[in-house]
Amino acid sequence: MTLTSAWYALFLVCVAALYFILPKRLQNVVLLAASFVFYGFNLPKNGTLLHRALPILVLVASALFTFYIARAIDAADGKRRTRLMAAAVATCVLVLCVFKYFNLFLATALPFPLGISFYTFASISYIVDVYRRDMAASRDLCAYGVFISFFGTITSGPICRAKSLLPQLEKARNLDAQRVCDALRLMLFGFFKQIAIANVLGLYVNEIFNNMNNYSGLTLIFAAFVYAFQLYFEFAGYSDIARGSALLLGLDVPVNFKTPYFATNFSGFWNRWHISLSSWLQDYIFMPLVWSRPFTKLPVVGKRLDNGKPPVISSVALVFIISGFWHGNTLPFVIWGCLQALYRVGEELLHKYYKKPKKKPSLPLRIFKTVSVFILWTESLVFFRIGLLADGTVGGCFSYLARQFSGVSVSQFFADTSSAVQNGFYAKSIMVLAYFAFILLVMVIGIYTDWRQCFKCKDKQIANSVAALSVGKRWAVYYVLIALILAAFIMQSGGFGTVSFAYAGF
Amino acid sequence: MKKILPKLCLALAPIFIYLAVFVAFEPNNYFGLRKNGSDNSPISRIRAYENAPKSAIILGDSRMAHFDMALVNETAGREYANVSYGGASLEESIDEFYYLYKKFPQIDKAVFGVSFYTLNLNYRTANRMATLETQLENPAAYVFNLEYNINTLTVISDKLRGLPDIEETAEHTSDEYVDANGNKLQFRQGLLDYAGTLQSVCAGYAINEAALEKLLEMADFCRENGVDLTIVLPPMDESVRVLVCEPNGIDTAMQPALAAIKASGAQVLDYEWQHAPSYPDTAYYDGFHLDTRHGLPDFTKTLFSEVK
Repeated sequence: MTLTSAWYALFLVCVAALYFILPKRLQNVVLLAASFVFYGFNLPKNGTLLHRALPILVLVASALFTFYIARAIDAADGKRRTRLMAAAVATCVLVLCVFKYFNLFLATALPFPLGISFYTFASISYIVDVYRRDMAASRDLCAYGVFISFFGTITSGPICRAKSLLPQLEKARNLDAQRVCDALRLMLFGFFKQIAIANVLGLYVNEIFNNMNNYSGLTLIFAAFVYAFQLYFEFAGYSDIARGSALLLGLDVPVNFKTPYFATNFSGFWNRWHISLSSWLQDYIFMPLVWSRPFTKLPVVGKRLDNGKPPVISSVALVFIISGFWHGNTLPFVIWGCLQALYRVGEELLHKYYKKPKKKPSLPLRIFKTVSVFILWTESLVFFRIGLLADGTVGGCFSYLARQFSGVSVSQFFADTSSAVQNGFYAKSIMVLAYFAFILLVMVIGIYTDWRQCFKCKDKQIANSVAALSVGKRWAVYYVLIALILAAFIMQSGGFGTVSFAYAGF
Repeated sequence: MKKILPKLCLALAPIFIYLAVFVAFEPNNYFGLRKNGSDNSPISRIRAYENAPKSAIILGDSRMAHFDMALVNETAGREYANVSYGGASLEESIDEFYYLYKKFPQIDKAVFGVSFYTLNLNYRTANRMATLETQLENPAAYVFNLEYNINTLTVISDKLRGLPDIEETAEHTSDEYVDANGNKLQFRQGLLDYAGTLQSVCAGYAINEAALEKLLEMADFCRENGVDLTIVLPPMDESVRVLVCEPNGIDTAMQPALAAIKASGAQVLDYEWQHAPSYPDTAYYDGFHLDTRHGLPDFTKTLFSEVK
């Protein structure tokens, strides 16, 4: 069961009904039970009982371990406190590494626990926050269990912070009509982004990336750009659905995307893309690296590295390399992470030597910078996309990049693009035309809503700004989005055997 | 909250309306709300069978799909259900048999159409049975399927334009037997054209051994489970034999396969090679398919009086 399946809608309605009907003291129990039911639907279907139950056992063990160790950390002082924290974090990282990396070397691979990358990071943030005395260790195992396993966010985030979510879980949540409307509206936008835009774009992207040797340079360049939009709308849409699900139940989880494709530099980009991950990396890896300066403590070379200044550039590089490893267990992902490191380090060095611009750049310069960031990001995504293929290799990535500059022909591009759709999924010419017309329409709507969010709505969510429209316009927006979602759903034959969510394997 | 539910229903109204229109006009009678569905689609045939199963079934491709079932039942003296459909590959029809038998083990008679064409290794058509099973078992997979939605729109369009259903029958004139210069053609023009369409698939003909093996396994299965199996090789027009089979050595290549099929223990009615009926060309709509009015009724009586 995923957040975009019809079963999830039924599941959410049933959970919400129980949640608000039952006594408020049972709300967290309902959420915890629902989260385990949701997790149960996503367990492996084949194998022995232990093999199939392993992911949920790992989740339960992880939740219990981090809950009790945080209490021990909270009760300890001095070196014991530090050692307990270090051991807890190391254990969490080790478990993650076993399933993410060492699994590749096992004769019989262990089943990959759904959301382990996300809930491990959430657990680590909780342990460190307790260690830093930013919050007290929770005494409520049920609330903590919900924090770790909440069905709305466990698959693909946002990565929640305990100091934000646990206080919400400790209070009773009342049914609020306005909040329900806001939640449904947010989920509508999420479904539009994922089903009407991302999944439809994915039909084309899958055909090109799975058969890249059959297509010419311009087609490969176009497909890379299309993938950049697919990934963004897919992930942003999923985050909206997750946030809407939480909001329906009275919980506020963080915004994960803030129109990243309008960023004019990579520093700004990473403040807008997968915000929960980048802020986690900043708070729990970058800042500790910068302030503790661990490299200066290395024997022999440590003193040479100590220039009295915080090691910002090396820390930035390391953070993005770690991000690459977090995203995937194959070399293309590591290279993707290294590229992000290169972009950020390059930017830092430019600012160091040429100073940050003091004046707001002119519109043409802003457009140039935005397009440049987008192009560099898009090309790096070739490694990301090929890393998702079962047989994706670094050689395949470089081959793709090299082939982008061979056979560059506009007429060949149009022929390729048409045949990609005809060979891949729609055999009739009229359907090929309908496909591209549909993509054009939904992309215009998607980019327009992002533009409005970025330049007109600022901190206000675009979904909520629809509520300010007149009744007629508001319902017109709803019906257009619903009709396009329905049309897209049918274009993918209801999702039976078509596009899969890239971030679902984390 | 009292205001939210009506607004939610209003918001979802387009979806409800779409579902209602789809259910009303979908051509395959999936939900059993109408008397008949589309005559020849796989899902329509299987769904109709599921709604009214019979213990005797007919399987195969389009050459087995157009029998007048009233005539079949009258001739055979028992009720048959026709679950054959156009474009069915041999393996697909075999998988269909197993699917139906698993659901309806009361099946005790199967008439199974095979031909040199479906035994052709080069005849590469997708086996849709797995997809069909998903659609049969999950209404959502059917309702949101793109092809069925397009078919529904086509049905609505045809109804609005008052277009009749297409039948495989035709009246032929003398013009069809001469070329542009008035010279007599070897065969009717339509039959020549049809034979031309088969050339690329039949060039380098070889038996699909895997499919043949699967057919023989099915024969064993039927024998073990008390299902009377009759394997039928439907008749073809002389134009196909002369223009396609003989030049490509298909007649020779088929002999071992025919011997294996006969040795399977199933009743084999071979109207393709050994007992080809001497129908005139007007009995054929095209090289493979009998005209539903001028040829098929005769063959129906012949076949079902010979089926055990």
